[in-house]
Amino acid sequence: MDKLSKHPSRETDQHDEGWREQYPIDTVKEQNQNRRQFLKTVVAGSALLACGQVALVAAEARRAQVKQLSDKRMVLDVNLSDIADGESILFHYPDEHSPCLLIKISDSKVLSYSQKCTHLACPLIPKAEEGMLFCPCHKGAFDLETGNPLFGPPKRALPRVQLSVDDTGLITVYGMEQAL
Amino acid sequence: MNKIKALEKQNNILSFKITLAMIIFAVQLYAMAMSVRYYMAGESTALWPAALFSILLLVVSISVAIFDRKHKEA
Ligand code: FES
Repeated sequence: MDKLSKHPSRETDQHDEGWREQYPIDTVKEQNQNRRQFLKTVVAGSALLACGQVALVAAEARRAQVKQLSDKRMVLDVNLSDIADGESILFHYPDEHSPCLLIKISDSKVLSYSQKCTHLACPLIPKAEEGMLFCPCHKGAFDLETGNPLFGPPKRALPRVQLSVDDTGLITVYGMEQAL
Repeated sequence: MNKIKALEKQNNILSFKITLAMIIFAVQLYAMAMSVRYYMAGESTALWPAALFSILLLVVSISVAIFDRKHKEA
């Protein structure tokens, strides 16, 4: 027990020399080694951040591409007469990564917006009876009529999908007012 | 005495390099946070310069680390 309680490095007798020979730890060197390891970690962190920045630029490039696509025409495979008043449907426009909502208010009034919240892109839940599109992520909401933010973190209005409905109830989407 | 001075110098250089790398990391972190904020807000003009700036800082940081290795080997 006595032997255990004594740390070898604190021993001053000859036994100390033997221990040092067997385990030659250079404290200064070891300390420097640890700091060098830390330096490497910080540089690796910097590399990660730089990669993140490049990823953001790539995401932005993709967004610009979607923006270019967003004036293509697309006929929805659902007829307006199949949708009840106050009901909404989900479709993707201008590409499969861009969910949009179509909300039927009445036969003569149909609204459509991007489903991505303009705060952090969470999917919105339409609440036609309350006249808003609700974002459950941070409790944000958009006005159903205008797409403007009502409350919560979102500051920008929702991109509005431009569409036309013909006499037979065929819905044609042909653009986005402000692509995300 | 000379050995102690050399050790001290080495220690100071290493401290300086670590400080520099950490400052670079902090600036990059700030640039990243700002970029994400602007990206979310739909403003993209600052993204390219921010990415270039970050890469430049990374190059400086890597140079510091490589210099450190050379210094260690010398
Ligand atoms: S993502 Fe919609 S409020 Fe934050």
